[in-house]
Amino acid sequence: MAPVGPRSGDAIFANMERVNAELFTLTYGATVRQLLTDLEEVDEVNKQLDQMGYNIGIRLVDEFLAKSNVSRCVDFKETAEVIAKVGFKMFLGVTASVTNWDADGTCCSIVLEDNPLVDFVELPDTCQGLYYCNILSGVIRGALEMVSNTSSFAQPSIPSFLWDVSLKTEVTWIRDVLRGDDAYELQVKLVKQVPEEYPYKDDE
Amino acid sequence: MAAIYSLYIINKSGGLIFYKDYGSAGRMDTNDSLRVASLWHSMHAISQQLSPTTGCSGIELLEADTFDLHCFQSLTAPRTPSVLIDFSKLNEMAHYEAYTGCTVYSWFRRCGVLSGSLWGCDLAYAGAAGTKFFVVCEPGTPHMESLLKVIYELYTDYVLKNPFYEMEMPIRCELFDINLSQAIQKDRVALLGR
Repeated sequence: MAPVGPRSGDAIFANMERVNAELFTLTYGATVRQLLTDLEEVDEVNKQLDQMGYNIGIRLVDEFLAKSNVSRCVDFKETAEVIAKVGFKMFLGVTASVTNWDADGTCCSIVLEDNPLVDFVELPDTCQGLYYCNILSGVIRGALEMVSNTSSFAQPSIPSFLWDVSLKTEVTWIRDVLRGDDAYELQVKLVKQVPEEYPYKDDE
Repeated sequence: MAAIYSLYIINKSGGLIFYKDYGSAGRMDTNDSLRVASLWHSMHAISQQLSPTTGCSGIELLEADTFDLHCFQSLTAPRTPSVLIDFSKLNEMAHYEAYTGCTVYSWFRRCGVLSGSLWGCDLAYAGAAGTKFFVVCEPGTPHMESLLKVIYELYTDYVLKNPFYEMEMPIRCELFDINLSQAIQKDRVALLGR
């Protein structure tokens, strides 16, 4: 079988089963609302949303790989582009752009112009600290953690047989329309990966 | 005609999470299939290490005179980093054995590679291991790569999206079974119609 090239986000999105956007938006809204009622603290809700996203991400990444035919990315830059162009399109139907790279290519911003999660949302004064879309940052973090790091990502200081480690990232919101900014901006920062030290055990 | 003999799905640490056989020949009991799965997991990892160039993702096709084995591995890696054995250190291992009288096994233990299990096939060199899907089929059966791709998609749809499925655990999802039989059936029809 000839190798199949990566499919575009639009093509996959066209073939995905879809639900009514309002049902999706309202379900998410109800979830956030319920979390606020249950947990009371806005910070706790942020944490919980991130954790929920993480749990989704570690499963979703397989579907992404299965349906997009994306093969291994060469570096973190390509990874970010693929998330923005293919991932967001495929699952949310929106396109994102990647900007604000730092000098060593380990930190960037994913900017969303449009965000179906927030269609009817106005943050009340009591919830000013809430990152309403925190589930998205969790999804990205979870998905990246499941993708193995290959040699080209590796730092020379790490022995080659330890290169295969997952991509640990920190994902934070920089801009949020609900908080009065002009777009949604997620900062994705690759955390330098230091392989775990294994306990040295002697037989004797 | 039974073109496909059996299908295995192995989780990231080499445990068999799904097994189904389709032919009367080569039927295996549960213990055997579990053993074969964990052995394949290890062989797959060793094949990556044997590669003279970096970036090898392991055995994709094994051809024998009576069967073909096609293997597909997902790109997702385990959440806990594990260690790959550096086979360039074989010399060092041999020296260790000669000088200390201890076996290579204990050398592995010294390096912290073994997590205390008994056999070589349990070596924790699952570094780049994703979920592995493999089919055993008649020699020369075509379209197996695309069938494995389809099975992977079914797995993402009907196993991973099932909120009650625990990751890495044996797959007991009826929807997956149904859709899988359909996919295999379709493949058989395509084979017969050629």
